[in-house]
Amino acid sequence: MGRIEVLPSALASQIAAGEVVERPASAAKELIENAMDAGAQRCDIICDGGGVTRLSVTDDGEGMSEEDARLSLERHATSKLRSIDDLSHLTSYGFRGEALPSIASVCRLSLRTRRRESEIGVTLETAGGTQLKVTPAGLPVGTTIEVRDLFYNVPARRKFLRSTGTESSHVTNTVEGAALTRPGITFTLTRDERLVRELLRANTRAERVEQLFEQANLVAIVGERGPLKLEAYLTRPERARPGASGLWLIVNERVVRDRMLATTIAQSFGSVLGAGHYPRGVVYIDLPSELVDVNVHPQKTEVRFVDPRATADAVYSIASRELGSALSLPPSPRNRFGVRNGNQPRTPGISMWGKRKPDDEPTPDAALRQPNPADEQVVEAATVTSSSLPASSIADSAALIATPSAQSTGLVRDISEASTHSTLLIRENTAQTTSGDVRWSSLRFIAQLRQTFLLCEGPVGIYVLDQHAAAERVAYQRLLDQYRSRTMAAQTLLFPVSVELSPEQVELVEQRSEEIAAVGLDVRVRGRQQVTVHAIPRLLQRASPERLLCDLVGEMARSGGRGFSAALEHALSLMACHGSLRAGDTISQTEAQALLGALDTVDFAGHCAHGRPVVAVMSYNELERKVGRR
Amino acid sequence: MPIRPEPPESEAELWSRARALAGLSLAQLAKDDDSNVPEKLLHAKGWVGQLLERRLGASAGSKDEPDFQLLGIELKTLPVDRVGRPCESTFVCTIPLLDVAVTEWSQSRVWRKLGRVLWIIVEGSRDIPVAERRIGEPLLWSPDADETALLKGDWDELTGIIGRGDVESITGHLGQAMQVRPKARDSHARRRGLDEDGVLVERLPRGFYLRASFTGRILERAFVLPRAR
Repeated sequence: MGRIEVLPSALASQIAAGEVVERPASAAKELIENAMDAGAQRCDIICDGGGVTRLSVTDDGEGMSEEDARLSLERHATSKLRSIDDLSHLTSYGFRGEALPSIASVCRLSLRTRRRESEIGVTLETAGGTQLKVTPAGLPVGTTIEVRDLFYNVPARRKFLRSTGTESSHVTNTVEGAALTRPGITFTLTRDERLVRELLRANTRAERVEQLFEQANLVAIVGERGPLKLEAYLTRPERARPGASGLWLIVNERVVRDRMLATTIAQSFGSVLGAGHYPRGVVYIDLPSELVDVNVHPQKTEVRFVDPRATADAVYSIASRELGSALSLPPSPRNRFGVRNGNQPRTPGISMWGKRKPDDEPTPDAALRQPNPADEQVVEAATVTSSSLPASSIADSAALIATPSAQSTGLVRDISEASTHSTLLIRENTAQTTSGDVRWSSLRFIAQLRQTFLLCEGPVGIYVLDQHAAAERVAYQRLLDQYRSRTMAAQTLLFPVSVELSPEQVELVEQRSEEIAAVGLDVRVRGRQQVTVHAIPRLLQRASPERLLCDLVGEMARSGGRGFSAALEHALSLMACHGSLRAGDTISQTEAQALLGALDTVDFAGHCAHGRPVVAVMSYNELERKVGRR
Repeated sequence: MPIRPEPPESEAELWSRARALAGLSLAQLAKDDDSNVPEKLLHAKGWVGQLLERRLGASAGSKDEPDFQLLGIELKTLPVDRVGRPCESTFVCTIPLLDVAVTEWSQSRVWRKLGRVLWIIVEGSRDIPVAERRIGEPLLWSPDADETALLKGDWDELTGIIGRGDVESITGHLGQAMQVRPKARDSHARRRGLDEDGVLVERLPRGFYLRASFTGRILERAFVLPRAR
């Protein structure tokens, strides 16, 4: 082994840059955040060649003196942090003082800046973080940072970049994220000499969301619980997508990636979203800075909540209630992701911080179980005092997040109420797909269409039901109810069905035999790779026993040892899908009318378990308009 | 060594033995029994039933009593086709032509046999080789009130005709759940019965059979049939 030597600063910066500057979009993020921290009202971004050839960010912020500009290129030089205590009250995006030098070390960078009180500005030019050239220049107030030839001196890094289109898209995404966090700033993005985004200053978040989600038909929800405030604009369930990539999570004006929060939002839709599906839209979460640690990763896209469980609990509580009333969603009786319902007691004596509290000290769970009329005042006080130095009372503030939702000021509103002067496209579109207050059993079944749809006549119009979606929803709800009440009825197969599984799956079947029996499957292990299915849930007699077992075992294997309940609900949803009336099946009048009657017993909000609408309605008025009678 | 257990001491024990057979083939059962599988069942009628009786510990043999005497349970094998329909009617018992008309339903052989039945379903499609046919799930059954009424109605009607000495007029069409059919090795077999005038005469032996439609309904209620999927 050679001698240990201190690395040259240029090399150290390049290594550090690997964490901060992964691709042009991450450089754009750092530069835009610097602009926002500088108090910019306008931010113009230019991106050429995917941001590799040129990436420029110009702001009209306060600018820098020559001395500050020089220092800004030094590592760990920052104006935003003076002591370790400041970390808990950060309101700026940057604070580590390493982004700019890191970027500078892997590109040719020019920095042009002028302070309002200075008559002349300064231009700094550097290549790879060295060869600093400083020249005075006549400039407008503000700062322009231009990055050229990104990674020109780190070919290994450059190899990992994707196509120009992909990198451009990431930069666009970054700009949109920044625009969502700060509606009050005008953003423009020029890509390869073409203006592709012009987001003029907005008065509210709702306006900014509207600029970015045109015609997305979003539902707005607003609410608060303790010091946590939630504002969200989300698509309806039928527009949900697999994966959370269309869901922006913004915590304290910072775009973050947080699987738990995304999952919690999906969960708040109840059972109308399919497994792995998430709504599109934006979720703003605001809470005192001392309750969130943003110093988790140099890119600061991850945050750590002081009490993640309480945070998720609060978000779930607000979102599920408000979405439930906005979309007439069925109540989610048990959440799949470990978010605790209000009536589920915590372990006595254990606070949400994991510390044991004295027996005579009221615990947050006590408050949860016994709503306190005085909570409103307590919350207001907490909201006010949380901005004062609460290092010792962080726990108290966070605990308030978990206080009952009785005091939350959640309201559902059309987004147009949120911004009074806007003519928004985001609004409820109930006429097309939702059921309103119709009693399904009162509909008159007319005919089956293409062995797929049920055409029915109702008091206000004609209803076309997707027979599979409707039957699946009924089966799923009944399965769930039977499972929860431990009354799952099984029906024996005339002949047992032999199923080949992997040895690991067979082991899983052995380990989880009780839970498997609880969902109505009688499965016996016959060999190292063979099991036989002897009974299946009575509600799913149409299903193939092999498929039901594979659905269940597949979900169980995916969930591992934990989250069995979640896996089970996913499995039940799959099983209901595979065991219900399908498109292509003929249905008799009696069966159709029975299905309509069964829908009355299911609170399903017009959607199947995968988020698809079950019914399309055309009013007689609309029909008359279409044929020119009106 | 063939597996020949002692008679079960409880219904639960019998049930457990029967459930353990579900899914096994007749070849596997025959191997455990040290017996050969006949190529066809046409000339080995009753082979499957006897095989199962031995395996489950039935004790009555050919006596006119339930197969599991201690438990009062009759064992009935029921061959079904690929969609779960019974392939044939099910023999219940022979008819004592001389005294059947004076026997009360509650004292009848039919009721004694059908009061509690262990049905063992067996694949019966002719296109499946005998050795490969599988045993299905067992069903412990007692007729419910409706079924009892149906059986008793058939009993009353059929025994009334026999009592009148008009047995020759009975065809397989009579009876909703249960029918009377000849039960003999061949057409030369004879039992003593009465004619219309009460005179003793030699008659072709007859037996009570459950209609396939009746046993089919029992299966439909108890099982998920292959055709439903």
